[in-house]
Amino acid sequence: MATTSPSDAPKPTPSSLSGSDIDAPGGRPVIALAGNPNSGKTSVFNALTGLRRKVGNYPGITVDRVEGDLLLSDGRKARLVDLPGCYSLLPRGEDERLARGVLLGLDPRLPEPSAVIAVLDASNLERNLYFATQLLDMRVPLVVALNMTDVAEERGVPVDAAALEAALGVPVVPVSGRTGANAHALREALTRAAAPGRLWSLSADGETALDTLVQAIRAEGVLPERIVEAEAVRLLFHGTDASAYGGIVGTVQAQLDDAGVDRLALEAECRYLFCRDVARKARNDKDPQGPSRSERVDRLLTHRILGPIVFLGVMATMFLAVFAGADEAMGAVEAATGWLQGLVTEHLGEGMLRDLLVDGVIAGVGNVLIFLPQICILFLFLAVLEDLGYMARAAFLIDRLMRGVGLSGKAFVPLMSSFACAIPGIMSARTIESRRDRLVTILVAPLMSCSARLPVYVLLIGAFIPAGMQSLTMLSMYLLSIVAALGVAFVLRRTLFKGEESPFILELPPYRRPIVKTVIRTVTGKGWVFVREAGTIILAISVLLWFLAYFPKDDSLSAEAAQRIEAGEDETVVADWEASAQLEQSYVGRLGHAIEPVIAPLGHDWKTGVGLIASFAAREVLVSTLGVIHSVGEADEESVSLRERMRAETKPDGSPVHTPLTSISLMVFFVLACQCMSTLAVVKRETNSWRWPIFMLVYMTVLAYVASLVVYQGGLALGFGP
Amino acid sequence: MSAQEVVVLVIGLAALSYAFVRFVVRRRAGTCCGESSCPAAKGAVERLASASDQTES
Repeated sequence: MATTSPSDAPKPTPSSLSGSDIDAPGGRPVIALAGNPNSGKTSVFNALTGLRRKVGNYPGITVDRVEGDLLLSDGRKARLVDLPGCYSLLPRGEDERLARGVLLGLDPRLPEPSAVIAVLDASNLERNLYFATQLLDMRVPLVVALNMTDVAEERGVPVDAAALEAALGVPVVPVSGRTGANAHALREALTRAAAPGRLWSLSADGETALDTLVQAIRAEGVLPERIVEAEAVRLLFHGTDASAYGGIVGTVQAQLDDAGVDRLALEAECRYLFCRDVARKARNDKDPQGPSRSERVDRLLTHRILGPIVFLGVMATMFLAVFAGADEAMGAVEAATGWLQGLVTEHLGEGMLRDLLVDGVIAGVGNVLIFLPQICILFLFLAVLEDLGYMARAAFLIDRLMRGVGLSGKAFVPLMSSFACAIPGIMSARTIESRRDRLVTILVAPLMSCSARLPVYVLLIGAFIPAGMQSLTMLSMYLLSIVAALGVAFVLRRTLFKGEESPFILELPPYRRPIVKTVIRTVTGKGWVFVREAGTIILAISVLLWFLAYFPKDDSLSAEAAQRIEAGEDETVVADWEASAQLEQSYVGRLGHAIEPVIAPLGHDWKTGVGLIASFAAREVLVSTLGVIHSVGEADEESVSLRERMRAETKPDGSPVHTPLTSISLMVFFVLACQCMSTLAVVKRETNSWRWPIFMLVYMTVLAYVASLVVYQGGLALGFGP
Repeated sequence: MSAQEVVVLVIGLAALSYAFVRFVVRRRAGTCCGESSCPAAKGAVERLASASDQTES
């Protein structure tokens, strides 16, 4: 195979652009910023625009282009468009499609860019140059911003910008996105942007085939001359429509295939040969020396065996902190709730309003707010781990498992996001190009244990699981969610969604010290969302649920209670009996009893059944619902601890209603069931069909029911009852 | 109807209206926060797919 070295390359033709030519018909010139993920593109964007960013949404596409004002060296303002970071400009994923569309001037929302700034990571030069060759193919006026030169220097392989400029035939400016250094020089360089065209070359067979295609495209006269060759390269190596251009695409592809040429490998090899040659020149024939510190740490943390062990250890420590570290704060919130209930009881005359405030509003919202300290601890850990760079390693470990079950590598972003909430997870599945892979990811994302399940776990674990087992139980719930998601994906990929999986490149960012400000912002942000939910929808549902638990009133029960008190029975006992009897015949009581036969085999009573139905609005509503039901159903308004009330609840035969076994059965149900209307609505929107949300609801409910049944009945059979 | 009962009725109606409006708004938007595109999804994609800031800092 013959390849062309930079010295053999055709002489770069100077771009037609000059300072005054950076122009756009009917508006400000557009400058596009392109580069690999992790090349520091966003930092260069911020340095050039002074962080004046606005986000332009592309309907139906999650990946955005970000736009800002760029002051050109002649004083004019240009639009700087930050394209999504991508490894290739082949239109496979939405991000690549978007970037390619803008660069080729095919995006109806933007004029063709007057120039493109390619941000290259100097510490990963070969891989970044691969992307640059694709930009060069497109004959866009190009300037290279050489970023992270300090990292390259630290690794002992400084990059000579002048040598790189000579090899590529476009201006190369070393910049620091972090400090903003040389941003001015980059602006200046835009006036010298050049479009030398394709610099790498193919084998003789390849060049002949390419030339045939170029002639065919040119003959049709539809595409502008500038992009003819780039389109020919795409069609030759990645074209799927063999009949295009009168069948010439199929003919030239067949010629190469018949000659035993692996077309995909041919393109990659030729480009990489060129990139290696250029990189060697730019580094004055030096190669990177030894692994970096991050790479050394990664040898342990991403190790096939040690990696998962460390990961489980980190998770177990996190959950231990969630239980052990929040006791005092939870006690304080509990005490505050009790104090508020006492205050209202004391100062408001007996009546319906007092009952609503004490049993509905305070019991409902208070019992959810109690979990705020634990939510904050959990997100504190997650924010630190993410900022440290560890979450990307965790993703890497899970990615290995995901590919094992046939999930797309790109599914790791949606699945990791689903640990916070399934909705952003499902929406970020838009980055997966294959519809089949995307659907599988969407269908399993809600199985990942979202943060709304956390209060449910914490309530049940705190109340019924012995102290030494709490962290382990919590960890088990998270592991169950991962195993369930991977298991379902495995089944789906071998039944409904058969086919090849798509390739994916996962890059691990270097470790860094967590930034306190970022961590605090994440924790307060998540905490605030939790408080806002408690103060809005949970408050509203608690009020509505109180109505359903308070009405209708059966006067005969009140009369019977009065008679029993007159007869000398203990007033508190009778009051408790009346509250409980009234609740049983209320709307909520009737509903609960109606579904009790269905959930009784899982070990749950009718009150939990009502909670399960209410939790379709939001999972944490289970906690507020149980809070309201237990509060309305008991005359004692001083004790607010839901955990204590649940622990003390007994069946008519005196045995406890809730046990460790029933709580595990309930948690397993919560891990696997799809109790979230918002998730179903989003799946409907994303798949544009009711078929998939209904499928999801059915399979998850059946899975949850069966698993919960197996846990409870199996536990009973093994003697873990009652 | 006592004063307490009137207040309770008003609170109940307010809760019902809020829940209904919230349901309609979010259903139309197709997101859990009611915004036309999901900010958390954008954040997730930005953070994980393009960790450029992380590398730089």
